[in-house]
Amino acid sequence: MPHFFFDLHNGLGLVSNEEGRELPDLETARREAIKGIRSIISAEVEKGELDLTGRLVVRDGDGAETLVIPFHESLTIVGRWTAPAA
Amino acid sequence: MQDRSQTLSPMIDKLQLWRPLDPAEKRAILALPHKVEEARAHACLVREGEKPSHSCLLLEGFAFRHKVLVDGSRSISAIHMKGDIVDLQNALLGTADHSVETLTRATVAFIPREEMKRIAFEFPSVGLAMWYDTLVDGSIFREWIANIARRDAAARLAHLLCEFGLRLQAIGLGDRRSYQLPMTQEQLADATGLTSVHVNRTLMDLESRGLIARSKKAVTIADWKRMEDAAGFNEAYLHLRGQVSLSPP
Repeated sequence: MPHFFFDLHNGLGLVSNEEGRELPDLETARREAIKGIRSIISAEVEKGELDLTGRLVVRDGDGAETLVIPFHESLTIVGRWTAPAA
Repeated sequence: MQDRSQTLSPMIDKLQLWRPLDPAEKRAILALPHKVEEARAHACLVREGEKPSHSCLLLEGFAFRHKVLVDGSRSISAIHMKGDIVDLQNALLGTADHSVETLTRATVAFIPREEMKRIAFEFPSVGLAMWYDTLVDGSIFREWIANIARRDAAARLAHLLCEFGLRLQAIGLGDRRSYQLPMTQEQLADATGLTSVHVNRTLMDLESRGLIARSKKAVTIADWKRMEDAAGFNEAYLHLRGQVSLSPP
């Protein structure tokens, strides 16, 4: 199985991934990347923070970048409630 | 060559964490019929739904208990090490309600479940120690539920690292502050209800806070007290009761 590394780039800098994971294909790597982003975002939301400026970079076994997923692409964002005009 | 008659001694060491055993009780444990098998890493020892005819005792290496959910994801509910009777409950329950897999290469002794029952009744002190063992397992499960339900990612991982180190030390396999962790980030994720991406980020976070140092599989906990505070770790649930000599950090 091919090996993939998931590097996180966010406001705090780069969190590189040295261990990586063996996954069947790039599509599975994309799904895992999106799950990973959502899990990090959820933990931040629980602490009252939502920062969508990060991105997750997937590298293949040779270290070459194969996917870049901006955090905001892992979500459907539907705006916010505004009070009706008086 | 290991003396065959001493093969099951890790079971004595483990049970004596809970109760002292007298020479006759120890001899009875060593005389339990069993077969020893070498297992590779990621080998299945017990499969959910099966009716195991034997209980498995870990003589060497590490294993974990887990369930696979309908969407294919996996939840790890316990880590096991040398001396643990991984599926003691199947000696009585019959049908395995979860699976057991090796984390590393392992040496496993398979003991017929009827023999486990027999020794418990013939030597009540051994039976009591086995009962104690399942109760402590239950206590660890409760702590893991609290971990996944209520702690944040950093505390969850810190807690798992404290527990692993302390249990290793309790059975004489190392120092709680410096050990080899035989788990991938994916397995850590399945044991903490996180994702491997989140685990990678969180381990880096623990490292940048100076709580742990890592090099490949090696984990070092520089300041045990600070780590306990970060994890909300209170070792009482392991019921080791001063049997582990805890020198100051």
